[in-house]
Amino acid sequence: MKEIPFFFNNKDNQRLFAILHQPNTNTDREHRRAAIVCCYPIFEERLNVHRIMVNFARYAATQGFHVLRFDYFGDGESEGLFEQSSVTTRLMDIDAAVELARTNFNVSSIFLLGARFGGTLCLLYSNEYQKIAGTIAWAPLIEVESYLLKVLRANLAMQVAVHGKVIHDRPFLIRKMEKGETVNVNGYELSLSLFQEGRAIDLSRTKLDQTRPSLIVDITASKVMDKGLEKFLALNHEAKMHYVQIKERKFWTALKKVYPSCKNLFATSLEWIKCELESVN
Amino acid sequence: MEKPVKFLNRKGQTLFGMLYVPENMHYAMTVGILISIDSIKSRIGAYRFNTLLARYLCQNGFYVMTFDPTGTGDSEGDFEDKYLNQHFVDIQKGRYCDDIIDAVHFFKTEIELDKVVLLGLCGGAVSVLLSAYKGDIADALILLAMPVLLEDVKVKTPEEIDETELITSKEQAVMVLLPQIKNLFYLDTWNKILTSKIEWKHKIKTNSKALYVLLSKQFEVLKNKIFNQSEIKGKPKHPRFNYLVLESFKKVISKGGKVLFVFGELDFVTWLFKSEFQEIFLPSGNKLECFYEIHVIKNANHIFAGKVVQNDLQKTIVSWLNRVIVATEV
Repeated sequence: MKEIPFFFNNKDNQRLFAILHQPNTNTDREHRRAAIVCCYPIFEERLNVHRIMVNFARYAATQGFHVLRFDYFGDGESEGLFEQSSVTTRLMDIDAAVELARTNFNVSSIFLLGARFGGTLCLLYSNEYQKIAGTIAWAPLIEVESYLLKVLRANLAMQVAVHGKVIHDRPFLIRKMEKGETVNVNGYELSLSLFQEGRAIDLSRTKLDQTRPSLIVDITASKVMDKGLEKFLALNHEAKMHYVQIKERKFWTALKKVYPSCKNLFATSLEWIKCELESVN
Repeated sequence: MEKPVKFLNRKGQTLFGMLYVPENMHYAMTVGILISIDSIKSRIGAYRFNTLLARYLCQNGFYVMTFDPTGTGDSEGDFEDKYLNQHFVDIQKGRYCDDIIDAVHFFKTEIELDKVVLLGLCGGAVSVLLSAYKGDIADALILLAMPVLLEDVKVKTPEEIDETELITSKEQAVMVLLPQIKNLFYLDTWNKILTSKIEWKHKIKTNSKALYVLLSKQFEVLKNKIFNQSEIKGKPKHPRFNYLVLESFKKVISKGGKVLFVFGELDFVTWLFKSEFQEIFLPSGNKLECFYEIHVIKNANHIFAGKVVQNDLQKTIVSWLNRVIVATEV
């Protein structure tokens, strides 16, 4: 199994960092005709998920798949500053990664796999572009606005640490972004474009392309489904959408115990891809 | 120029890294800076801390390398299933040392370096300090927010942390007591007191400890003025003091290595360093002052989050490198 780190350019000629996991040559030829493009979450969740994605990529490569992991513009080791990125730029970067896979890896099928906000982006991308064979979303964010408002809490906590109390509340911080400034949340400079585009995403009110296969993986210890997810699934009940619930530690948060193995999650995801490949053939 | 790299560690495992090569060399000597990861946040670091710092240092004429030790980030190797705080202790006892030493050797094969500087934040700072002791690989160290106490493995949840144990310095005692005193001028506080919404047990415990520390530190100041200390001597008081940090620091200094400590004003690690390390081993006027500098960045937290704070940190680091390592005028 070969792992190749490299830079590639998106359509705006910005350098994005990526790592390609090439499959073993003694694996199923059909699988070697498929590539999986991995889409990371946002903020610190991106770092918390990193090793899980690496482990998945290695697992998938041993099963014969090409796997491409990449950093969005303004994130990871790609060019640019975080505040220069938005939902739009991330979707464009996913497209650039998909195009790279399509033109360079000699594959006939490309799947997207995203965790958390990455999963949300994958679903939106597959809805807009017709280039991929299927999408897997691990614990996707359904109502992004509530997530971003929670993220803003980090700034409020910082104010308490510095000043002993909150001086600028959330409405003030939003007005600050509207004036063109950024708001610091645990080191990340949140800009208006990312905030506004993000808060406009509500999958519970989004009817996706009914012909695009997707696997929604609900990673939870609770038997009760999130209401937003329930609405999303109900709205898209006629779509080629599969839902599965997997009991696993929420590895995108700061865990007390490090790096769960996620064997069930990986196996389930790959089995679904294999089924989709078989149904196409 | 940024170049992804891969190299083998002594166990034959492939480690991934990034090499930052300056476009313009300002200096007569080639200085390489290796940035260690802190805990498990990969070579990128919290909010891309390492990547942004590496780019800034590279723009200022320094070669920089970041990398993932085995079992982390993109690198090969397994990572055992354990509690995060146990992993912190493992780092504080040198888990990443061998890989850091191997990374430096690789760095030197890629670039002909005149001087090597190791840089790390928190666990990364401890890692590079211990590596410098073990491998004799560095001319200088930049230690950011370095903890001097071992992580408490008995604590499994944030609720189990005994906050009073962390009140060890005068500055922290003031940070605990001052808001309490200020709050007494607000009606809301008295309302809480009268309606029993205050956790009295916790308040009495923390405030008593803060008051005790404040008074005992004042007494120590008087004592130090009478008995002028000029060498590293004195015994650590805290039961979780990391002796490896002290021994490593002594060795680095004894070999003429230079050390830059940078801390955040709002970080409790800063004041633990002050009370458990600086005041005991590096009192004002000691003979070793020419080998190290200690800076505290205003309004900075443990990870130096925030544009203004990051600018201050970056300038502090480059200024020190220019003065102490490269020895040119800023």
